[in-house]
Amino acid sequence: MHLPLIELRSVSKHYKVGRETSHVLKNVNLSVNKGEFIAIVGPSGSGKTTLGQIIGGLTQPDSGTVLVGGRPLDKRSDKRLSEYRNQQVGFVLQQFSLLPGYSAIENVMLPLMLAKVNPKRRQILALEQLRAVGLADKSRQSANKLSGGERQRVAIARALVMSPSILIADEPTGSLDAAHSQEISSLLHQLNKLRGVTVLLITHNLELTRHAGRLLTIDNGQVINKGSYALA
Amino acid sequence: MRWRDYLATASKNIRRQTVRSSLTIIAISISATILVTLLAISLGAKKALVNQLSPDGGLTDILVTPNHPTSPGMFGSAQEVGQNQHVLNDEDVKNLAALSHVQAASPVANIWEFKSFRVDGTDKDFVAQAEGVTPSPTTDKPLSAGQHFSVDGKSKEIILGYTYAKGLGLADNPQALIGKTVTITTQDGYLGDGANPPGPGATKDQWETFAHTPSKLTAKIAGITSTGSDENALLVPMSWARQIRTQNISPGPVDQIAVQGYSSIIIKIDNVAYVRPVSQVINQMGFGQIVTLDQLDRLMQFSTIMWTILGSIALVALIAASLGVVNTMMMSVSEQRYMIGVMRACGARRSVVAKLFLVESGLLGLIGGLIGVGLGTVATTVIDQKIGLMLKAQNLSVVHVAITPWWLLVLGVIMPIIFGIISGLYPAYKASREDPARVLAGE
Repeated sequence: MHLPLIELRSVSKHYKVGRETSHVLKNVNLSVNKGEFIAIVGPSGSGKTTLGQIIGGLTQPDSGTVLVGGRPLDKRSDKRLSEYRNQQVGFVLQQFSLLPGYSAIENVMLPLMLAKVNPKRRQILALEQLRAVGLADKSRQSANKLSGGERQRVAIARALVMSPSILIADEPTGSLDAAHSQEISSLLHQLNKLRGVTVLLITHNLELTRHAGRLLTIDNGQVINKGSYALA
Repeated sequence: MRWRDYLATASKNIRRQTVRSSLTIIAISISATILVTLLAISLGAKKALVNQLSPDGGLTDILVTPNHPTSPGMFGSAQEVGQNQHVLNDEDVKNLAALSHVQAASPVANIWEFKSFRVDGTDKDFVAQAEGVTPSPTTDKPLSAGQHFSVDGKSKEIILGYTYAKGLGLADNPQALIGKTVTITTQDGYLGDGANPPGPGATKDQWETFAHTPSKLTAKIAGITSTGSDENALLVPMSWARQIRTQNISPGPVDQIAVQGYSSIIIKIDNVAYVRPVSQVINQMGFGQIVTLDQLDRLMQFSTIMWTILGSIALVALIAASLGVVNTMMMSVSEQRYMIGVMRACGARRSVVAKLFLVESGLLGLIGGLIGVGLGTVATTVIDQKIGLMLKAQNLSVVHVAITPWWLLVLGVIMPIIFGIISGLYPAYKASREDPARVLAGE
């Protein structure tokens, strides 16, 4: 039997804001196969980001189970979860998420540094990823001096430098114009096809989801559509 | 993460917050400077006091005095005049010398008959604080020039205190005074050796004139004392001292030393461990005594108090600087919440984040400590030189009032590092507990 790479069983999550409780996810069930490109769409505050964070091991569900490669995430210690984020997941976030004052290559080397990879090897691997996103010539440039599109490409290079099996892109084009947004979307599609990386693209921009094999609509903490997607 | 990466990341963070980091480092370096300077002065003062008290093995000396002591003071013991009055005589010298562990007993007699003296060929008169001493290879202190009296001590020689050589501008060459003649002016009406009183048939007026006339005595300089021991004394061999103190009057001469006794007897103990037992025996014999070791103990207590006070001041400065580190680190954590979130998303464990901030606070301490030690070393050198010049200008022995041993320099660096790390504990804990999900969601 084919085992899904990611499986969510009755996952719920709530946050307390002051005295009020906000139920962000309600009994979410989901299966994602290896190499899939899934677009998760929905309005702001619908729970898309929380879903991505739970799958990425950044936060734990209040109830339910998350299985990655058949193994539950919620039973893992901080050490194991950190290793999981370092080696199996790559995050691309809306705010570029680059370390200010660091060069492009230093940003890409961050996961390698955390994994105690030899400094020389770090340079080689990071440069390789920058080349893959077309920024090898700007590797020594400070992240602050790159354009929005370039910064997001550096963030993608960093997300891929450890060769993860899952790439979670949370509103990766939120701060970019239309042309750069399409460029990033195409890059994610390319990586999915060429490297077989499972991509979870979280966005509210339907234009970006054209490459996704499956569209997941989430609203008010519940998955309301798990169908395949074809842009009208 | 490797240690090298922690250091590189932490130093980058420090460089990014230039103004705040610089102010914190300045605060730490000031506290480290205070620490090094105050403790260097405390150490220097302690060493100077110990050297002053224990030159040439003086810790094994006991100065026996005629009277029983009452209460100990900082620089000796108060003497109970009139109680247990005892005249120190040759019998006492013999008894003290016979005590177990006593190597030698050497009597000292104050000579009140001298008023002043002048080295021939010079134009300076000095007040003469003369003492008759018994030559003894055991109790003789080292000289800066010349030699001690011959054991028979019959010649009319003196050993001059080093202070007088300095007063004559010969501090660097006391040897130049050896063999020179000294003319001593006695008190008016002096009746001892070398005096020329009126004959048996003299009139009352002649005696009256004599009573208001000093005599002149001459002696050769045999040696010059060294710094720290008998610096201000004019030492005379005991045999001559006895002649000086003998009043040649009718019906016959009166030996004042025999009548009034020696002013003190210096005894030398063979080992510092036996100083206190011998001191107890002397106490039981009814003598007074000044034990250098006791003085040293009291000075050490004083020194410990001084060390504690100065150390506490330095500690307060360090604590104040540490509060600055806490503030800097808390702001750093607050400003770098997003960076913490990114690092956690990239696989940093909580402990990695905590270590990163601890290394940063420790690094602030290290930089501040290194600068502080440098400034402290300069400060102590300047203070030492200034005080040295002041002492030299007043013809006093030049001592090092501030010393900086290697361990103090290490302490000056280690303490700010430790305080820096302690100050970083809470901010590091806060950083490690940041929820990456909330931070990255922009909350």
